Amino acid sequence: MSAVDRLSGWLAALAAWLFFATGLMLGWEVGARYLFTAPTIWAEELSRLFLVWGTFAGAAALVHRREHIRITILTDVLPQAARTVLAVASLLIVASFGAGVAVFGFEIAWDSYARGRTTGSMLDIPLAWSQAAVPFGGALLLLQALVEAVRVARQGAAPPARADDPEPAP
Amino acid sequence: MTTLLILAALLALLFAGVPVAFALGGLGFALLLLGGFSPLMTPAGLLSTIDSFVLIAVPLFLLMSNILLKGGVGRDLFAAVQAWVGHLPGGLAIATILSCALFAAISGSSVATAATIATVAIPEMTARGYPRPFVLGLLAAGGTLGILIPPSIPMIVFGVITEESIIQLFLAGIGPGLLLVVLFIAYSVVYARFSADYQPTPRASWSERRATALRALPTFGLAAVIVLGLYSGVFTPTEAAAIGFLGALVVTGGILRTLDWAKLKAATQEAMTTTVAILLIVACAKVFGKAITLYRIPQDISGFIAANIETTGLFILCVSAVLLVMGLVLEALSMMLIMVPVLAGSLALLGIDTIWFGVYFVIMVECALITPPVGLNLYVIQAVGRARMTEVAAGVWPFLVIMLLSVILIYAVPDIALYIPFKL
Repeated sequence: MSAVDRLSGWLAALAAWLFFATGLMLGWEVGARYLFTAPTIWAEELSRLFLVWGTFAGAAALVHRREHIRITILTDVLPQAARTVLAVASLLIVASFGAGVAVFGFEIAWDSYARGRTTGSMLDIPLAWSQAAVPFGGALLLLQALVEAVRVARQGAAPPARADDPEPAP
Repeated sequence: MTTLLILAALLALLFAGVPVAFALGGLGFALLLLGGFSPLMTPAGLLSTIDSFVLIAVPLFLLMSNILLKGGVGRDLFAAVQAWVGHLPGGLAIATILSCALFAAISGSSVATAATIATVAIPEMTARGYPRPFVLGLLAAGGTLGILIPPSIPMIVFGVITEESIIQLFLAGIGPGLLLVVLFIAYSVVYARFSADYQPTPRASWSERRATALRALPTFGLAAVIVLGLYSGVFTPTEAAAIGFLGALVVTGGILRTLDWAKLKAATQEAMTTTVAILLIVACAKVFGKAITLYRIPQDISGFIAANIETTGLFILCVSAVLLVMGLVLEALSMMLIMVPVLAGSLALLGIDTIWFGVYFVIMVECALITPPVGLNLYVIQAVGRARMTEVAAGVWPFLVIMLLSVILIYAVPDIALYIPFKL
């Protein structure tokens, strides 16, 4: 179980640096365009690929750290036993969503791979490169949510979040 | 009937504590399966939403503001503004609002704005005899400027859902943002005049003014480059975010020398967390939106609105009422992602400008951010100020009234929002 935590934690750290690299690439791109009037052909596409992979690779770690945005107004006032039941149920919902995304996302990516579809853009990379991120993220989400569900079922739900660790949000 | 069932299912999932993203995505997925539509629409919808050049602005703006934040820029800004306006009546309150407005120009997040300025302003203001509820309310409300003054993450999301120009949305936020700054300042000055315990702050010396201004200057410069670059069309929002990110590295790493490796790493990881949380909600909301469109729910709601609501005024009044009620319990982004796709169809019918509606919606979302008991700004201020929710709630309502007043003003005079993007 902790292997899953480590894997998703490691992928989330990687996702963060993918976003960082995107900033460097696009900063370079703007500079290249205005200073040397020589825009790159790879910056835009590569940064979209990074955004897709970063987002799907980071999703599972946020489940582990309870950092997805949730509405806790009701669950916070429930007794411990009810909170545990709801937490397990909610993690199982996350797991089934992950499973659905993994299965049908794989179907799309596999189809593109088998038919050799490409983006048809400047870089003309295989479509499956970005499409594979979705089932990958879904499968990881399924694993992590199951691990968390088992954990909560064994140990009970965590106490209500304190006001001094606010959730991330816009 | 179906509409009510779906709404009930969504609320049940949300209140059971299912993360907003997966409540929307899971319900959308289930609806596709139940309705006999292709479930392939779920992964396809997720991918097509996130595979977007526009949305790259989200992680980059977050990186920029997190790096600046870790570099202690909030403190520098507050110190500079305070040295210049602190001695005026209600000066510290004015300094707080102006700092929020300035920080808003480098941050697209209202929580970050509130938290950053609150850390420096709350101790300072309470030491000068401002009553605590007023201070807490001021900061919770001032923080909301973060998403009205560009850059703004909710406006990027609004632009993505409605397929409107994000630059125009950004520019349209400036006028109402300044209006709110003026109204907040006016209220603070009057409040300070009639407050018994208030002690004026001594005038800062010229050398202090010069020193603090010099330290805040690189950040001012960065904010100016971004806003002017967007305005003149030199860069797209995504490029502006990339420049802002590089600028933040230069300002904190090169000029102020306040950024070290540990802070950079923390800023990067936090930006990732917020980005993933936000983008997954946006993508899952897209799946949910597709599913309910196949069930013809937005169409039915548009039809209902067309049949029953004849004037723009009544429409805005109804939407505002619904948003205020939702704001009591839901958080901001979910409100926007659930409501906007459903309402978008009615806008053209009633002749409402989508850009104007975006600005209006963001102000209403801001109200939601500070209406007790659920509001992220309230939580943050409560945590930073080590206060009770009742204290914050007591201080926040005058500002809520001011924000609703500003909604009435931009409704009566739409040019407050639309002048800068379309007529300047």
